[in-house]
Amino acid sequence: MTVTILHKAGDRFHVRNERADSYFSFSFGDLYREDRLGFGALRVLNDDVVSPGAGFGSHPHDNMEIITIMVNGEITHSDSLGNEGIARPGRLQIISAGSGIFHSEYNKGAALSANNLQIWVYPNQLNTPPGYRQADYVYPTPLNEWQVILEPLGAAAGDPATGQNAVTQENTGKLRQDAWFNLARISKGTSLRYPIKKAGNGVYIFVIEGRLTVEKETLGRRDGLGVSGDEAPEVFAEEDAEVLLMDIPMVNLL
Amino acid sequence: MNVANETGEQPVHVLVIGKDPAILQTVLRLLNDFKKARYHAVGTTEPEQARELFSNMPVDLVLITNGLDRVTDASLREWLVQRRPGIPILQHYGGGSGLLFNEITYFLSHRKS
Repeated sequence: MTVTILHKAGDRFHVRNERADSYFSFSFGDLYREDRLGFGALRVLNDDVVSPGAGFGSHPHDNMEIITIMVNGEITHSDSLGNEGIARPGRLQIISAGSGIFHSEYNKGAALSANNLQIWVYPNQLNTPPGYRQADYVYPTPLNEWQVILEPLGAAAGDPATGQNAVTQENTGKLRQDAWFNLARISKGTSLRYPIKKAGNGVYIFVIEGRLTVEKETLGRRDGLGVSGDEAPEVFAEEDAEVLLMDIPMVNLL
Repeated sequence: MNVANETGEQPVHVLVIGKDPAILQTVLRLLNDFKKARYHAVGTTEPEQARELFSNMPVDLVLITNGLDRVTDASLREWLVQRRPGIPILQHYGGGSGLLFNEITYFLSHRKS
């Protein structure tokens, strides 16, 4: 494996206002660095702490797969398709923006902040019908094994033909890209190898909590590392850790 | 409109084409932020009107947002390139403020180099 990008937590973009305290691993909004324009089809990884009672009012999206993974708290979703939903730890949500959708996301809790990872992945097809999906996964995740929480739409028998507005009760969400998202809790001193699902894909590893070593790089809380190559990367927990691993096509759309 | 912005530079003229009127208006509003005055954007949901605007207005960059079917998209791009080969045509992803300025900054900086 070859390390292609290393994003230390403290080297992320930082934006703070009354609604959220946000760290961006990649260029976003007005914030721009040319070496931070994505990792293959992974374009956005925003680590948002949304203030109690605050959130993001109705705004549009198109042609993007927008995944929300909650670290703690809850976010209430509504959209122009008439969908409503709540994302929480153990329940992720996917917006397939497709040909266009408006949505809002609020932390309706009066007292507690909500920490979520909002992740944008370029779709593998433009202008599909927009959709909103949820998926329930086992949480906390089992110890020392990868749990697939998101996989390509059509990867499993019985997937809906379009993926539109299917609120699933399965433990694997679906997105319109040849990408797989995995969560793991890894005990101190344990190694986990990750077999890449599709030849040519890269792997982006984001440390939610704890400390890891990957390809001789030590990663702390909220550090990110992108690697590519044919071998299965190995993750070693220097201390108890929770990690998100994204298996991503290395397409370049710029 | 050719008003110089606060740094004395001419704004970048952007032609935006997308089928969803609400998203188109959002993108235009973002680009036409007069406080920065970096961009002057006009837009349309209709490819035929896009051709007309492209023929009759200064355009530095074409931004295609959402909803064009493949045939229409390909035909329009071909026409634009034939008409004025040096004008970048950018596929905008995300439909809002998240990537808009990043994409334009990247394309314009690479056009200059």
